[in-house]
Amino acid sequence: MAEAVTAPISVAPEARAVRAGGAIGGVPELAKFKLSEWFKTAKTEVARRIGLTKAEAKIKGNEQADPKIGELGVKVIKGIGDLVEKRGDYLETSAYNRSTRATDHERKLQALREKPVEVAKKAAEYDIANTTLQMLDLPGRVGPGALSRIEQARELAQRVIDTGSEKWHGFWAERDNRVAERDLDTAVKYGEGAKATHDFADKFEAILGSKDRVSELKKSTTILKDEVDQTTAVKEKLAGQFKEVLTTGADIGKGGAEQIKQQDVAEIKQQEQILKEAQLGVTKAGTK
Amino acid sequence: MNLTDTLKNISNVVENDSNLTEELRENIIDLIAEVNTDPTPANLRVLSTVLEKLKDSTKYLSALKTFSSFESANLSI
Repeated sequence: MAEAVTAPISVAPEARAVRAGGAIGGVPELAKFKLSEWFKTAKTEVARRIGLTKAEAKIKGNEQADPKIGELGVKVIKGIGDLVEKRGDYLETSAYNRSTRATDHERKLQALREKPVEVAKKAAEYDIANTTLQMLDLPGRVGPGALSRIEQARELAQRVIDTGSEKWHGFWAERDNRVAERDLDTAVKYGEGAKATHDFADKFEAILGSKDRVSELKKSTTILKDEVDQTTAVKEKLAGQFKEVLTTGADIGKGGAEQIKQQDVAEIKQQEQILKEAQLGVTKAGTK
Repeated sequence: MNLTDTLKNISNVVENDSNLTEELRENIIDLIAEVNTDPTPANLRVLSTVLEKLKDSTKYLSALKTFSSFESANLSI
């Protein structure tokens, strides 16, 4: 005999809207499609969008750099690429897990609507087994509050089986509904997150394509050409002098004019500025 | 702030950046140390290229971390 479920089984309006084809195209099927589309792009193009490929080529093309430093630079760039890809993999897996869970709960809700008593009892049996395992596993690792909640859930599950009461079936229906809504909501957030991340990657592409950036790249090319014209002797002499001058803060524009070309001074200051900006950026990003 | 101090600060930030793997952290710190020993324009350019990309990637990874925190937040409910 099927008993009526007293608690209403409803899905949040926003989740319904998304499922019907809202902001990200619905959860889970269309959302999956959107996620898949983005992650495909992320895996193959994020490195390019951030400019890692160009950076690697730039380092390899810098023939005047110490080979060991060039090699380390390329190694770091590749390491950054691996890190980005791994993080992308993690997010993709998480997003699909969420989506799958949303689907599972949707099916569970449907089953609950069709056979409330059987499903509630089955869920209760599962919860008893699960909470018993948790109680065996968790002591010593979680506080008494958590154990008490687990014990409470276990007792409630037992009542569902013992009494077959409408009240407890309603409780179970409510609980499943909350979980389903939460998972749908999370799946939506993942979809929105994926979209925002995609936009984020696009911004990098825009930066690379901007006039200022192109101008900066052209400037670097000119400086590189100038450097190639320098003799090895000058370069070796400068290597020691640069460090001394920069670390002591001497006025290289006047005192070292004979030995240090002005263009080198300008460049070293430019590089120092880039380093400072990079430091600022790394610090800011690291604190997020 | 002179170059040595700047490099030291960057090195400290990298060392404490939990977003990076141990291997990557070590490689970046090694690179900074090498450039600090021989700060020619060409070597500095390699480092500045790497740090610029590190900056961009760190921003990107921070964004991903924010989005993936939905997962841990949900599991903790």
